[in-house]
Amino acid sequence: MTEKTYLLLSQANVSSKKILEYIGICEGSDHAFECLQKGSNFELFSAKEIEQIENIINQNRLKEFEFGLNKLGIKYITYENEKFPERLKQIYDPPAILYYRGNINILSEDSIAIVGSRVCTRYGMEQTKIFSNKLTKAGFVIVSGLAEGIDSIAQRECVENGGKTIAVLAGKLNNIYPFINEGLANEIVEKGGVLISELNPSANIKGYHFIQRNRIIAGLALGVFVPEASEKSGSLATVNFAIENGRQIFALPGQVNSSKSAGTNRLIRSLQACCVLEPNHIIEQFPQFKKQKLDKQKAVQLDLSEQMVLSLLENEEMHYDQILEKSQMDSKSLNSLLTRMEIRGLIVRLAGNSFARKV
Amino acid sequence: MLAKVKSLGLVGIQGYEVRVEADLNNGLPKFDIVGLPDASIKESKERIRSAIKNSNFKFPITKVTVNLAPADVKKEGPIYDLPIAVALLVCTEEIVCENLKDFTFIGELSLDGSIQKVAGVLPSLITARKLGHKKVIIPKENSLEASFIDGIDVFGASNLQEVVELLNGTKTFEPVPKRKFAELQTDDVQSNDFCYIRGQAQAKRALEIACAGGHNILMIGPPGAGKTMLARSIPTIMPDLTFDEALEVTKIHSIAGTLDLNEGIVWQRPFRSPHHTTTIIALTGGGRNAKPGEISLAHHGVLFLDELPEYNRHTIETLRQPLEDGIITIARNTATIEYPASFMLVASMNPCPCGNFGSRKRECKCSPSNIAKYLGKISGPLLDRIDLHIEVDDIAYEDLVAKDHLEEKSEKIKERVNKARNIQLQRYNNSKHFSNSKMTNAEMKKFCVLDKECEDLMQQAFDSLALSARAYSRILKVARTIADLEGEENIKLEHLAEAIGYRSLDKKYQFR
Repeated sequence: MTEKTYLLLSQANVSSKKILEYIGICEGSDHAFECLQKGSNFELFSAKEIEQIENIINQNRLKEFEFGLNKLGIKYITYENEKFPERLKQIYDPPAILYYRGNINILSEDSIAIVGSRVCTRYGMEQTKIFSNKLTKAGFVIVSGLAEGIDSIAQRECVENGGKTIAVLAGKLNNIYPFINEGLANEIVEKGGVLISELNPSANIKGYHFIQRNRIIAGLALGVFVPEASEKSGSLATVNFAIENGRQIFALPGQVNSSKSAGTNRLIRSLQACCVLEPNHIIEQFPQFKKQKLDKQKAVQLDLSEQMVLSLLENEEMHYDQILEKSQMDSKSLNSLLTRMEIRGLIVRLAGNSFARKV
Repeated sequence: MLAKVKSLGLVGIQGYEVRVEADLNNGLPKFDIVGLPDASIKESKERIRSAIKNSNFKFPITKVTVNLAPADVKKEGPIYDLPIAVALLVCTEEIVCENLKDFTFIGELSLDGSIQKVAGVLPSLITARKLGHKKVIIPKENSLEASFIDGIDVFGASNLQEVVELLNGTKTFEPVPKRKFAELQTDDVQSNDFCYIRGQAQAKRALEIACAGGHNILMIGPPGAGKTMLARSIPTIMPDLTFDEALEVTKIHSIAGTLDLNEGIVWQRPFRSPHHTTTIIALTGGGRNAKPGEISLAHHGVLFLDELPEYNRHTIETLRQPLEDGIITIARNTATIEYPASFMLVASMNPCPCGNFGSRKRECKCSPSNIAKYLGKISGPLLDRIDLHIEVDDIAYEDLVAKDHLEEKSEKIKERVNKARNIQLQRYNNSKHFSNSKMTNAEMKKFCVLDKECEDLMQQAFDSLALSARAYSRILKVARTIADLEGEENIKLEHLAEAIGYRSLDKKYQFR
């Protein structure tokens, strides 16, 4: 009976807050189901919600919903389920029900959220990979929103290194948004991770759902790490939820004149976030995890021209024309040299004909 | 009385003999043309009647029947005006000529009896020579087209009167004088010379390789970086056309009616740049009469597609097969026609919808999925057929205004390109193509031998860049061209490495 109450109200598109409130008024979910049948305490709901609830009860559509979920391979846990993570219950506005695909047990494991801008720089991308890699190896579960940019980079790195990751989606589980991450989503499930969403699979996604899911990300994790965020980034909403709920915030400093790092730099400046320079700065905050050794550059044999190119790229990425000018080579030998170095994994070629040292 | 006169017809660029027969019968005055004529031939009647009358000849006042044999092939175009008129004049004994069967006629008449220019003269003449025709009378305006065809006497006639005089022998005419192809290669002032383009060393180098081997090339860069300017300068460094190539190209242009009649032959490599609103038919050829499209008009030359993602996706996907085979087969219910379409594809595009992705100067405002969607407009299979991907970035202001910095002239580059092309011409002496990019598999085995060092590099590149089998062979072809530019017998490590470097687009723009 308990679970049916949650499912019914969720299918009627009642918000989590109201579901929990209603169950509270009705003194428990068992009793709440009877109340629903009788129609008592309905003053809590709006007219539209009442119409939908009555619709479901009168037409006995709950079975239909359960069958539909089964068909899509989607399961759900409710607030009262033992697998529902304790940490998430403690936030101000916890979700009443979570739909999921994959391994639900990892929700209660120690996790860290990595969130950031969708449009990120190469710096943000690289650092996210390094942090995600090391945090995964240290044993953290990575929580993120499967959005483009930082989110998906962090989660892909985690999955590729055998880690488990929780993708908190704003939309429906049967319709992954953004579409290009559908492959990644399937991989997360296959590799023992989980996709969760508060939204019932027959509802329509709205803009505010994206903000609401950020509270789940903040609620699930022990801390939130922001590698790169602009001043108006949605990841700062996650940070606000995290601060309200007493989670630790970590931010990676960026160039002061980079608009893509303005958000993270401000977090550090206002002392809201702990400034981290390497993954161990996060790991050391959680004594249950062991610090990781940073990868060292492998010693490779280089000839003179290769050494020269690497020294040119030491501190910054450089455009082809600049390398051409500074190296005093002609374009045909430089083309050949750069390609050989790329194939050997010493440098990477970037969009816009620039080159950078491989990290 | 019955008269028979020879003429020529065309299916695509292939010609065949048409016999024009005219017969006068007793009966009410009537003029019939049979033998599957199209609308323009049916209208011939009126032109012929007036032309004969206005040239001061008699038009027969009996029942006239004209047959165009073979009667089962559809004939089109006004080129049969002249042969029909001649046949009628033979019937009325205005023309008395014993060796009429030595002559072949092509030409359109106007009402005053003058002979108008027609399309497709060069391929017709080549057919006439093959069929053993001895003398051909063509419109005077087309006579320059005839000047490169040996072994056949061609007369250019400006009106019907002249034709009659020629056949009756009342006046002597000289055949069209022959010209030498080599004499055409004159220097003209190049307005798009490479020396006017500052910087862009890598792009210039890649274009040089592309031109030398006839490889396809894609230029990516922000708006205003100079992609179009670079493309427009390509003709100045393209290798000279050989005579055989020139004839092939001229045939197509002659049929399409795009031939410059003051030149008579296409002696510079064509440069075609259809707008991105072009339709499939305009690009590949077709339509009611299956005319050659832009890709055939660009045969042995350059097809430049500016702003590639703006083209209709279906339109550019049709390029796939011609890019591989060098011909296009157009099947229509009236005929199946094959046109040569061995062109060098030059395309340009922005890296993202706003155009600034990867730019050093301006910030890109596109989301990763928008960029992926934009690049996705060009399918993988098409991209795979493009050998060289280069990025053209904005150049720095200092480079733009530098006065003492002298860029290399097109002439110099062309010299190197020609040298490399000559090596290829010798190498492919016995095959049907002229450049490295069209190398067959058997030829690749023979001419693209890699040593141990090169093979190791290729192996690494294959794994780290995730190349396809087609990419593998295309890299080898580019490497062969680079080696030819250096004048090297075998492909060396640096040639191969440079070739691989030009195929990195797909990897760079992945967001992982």
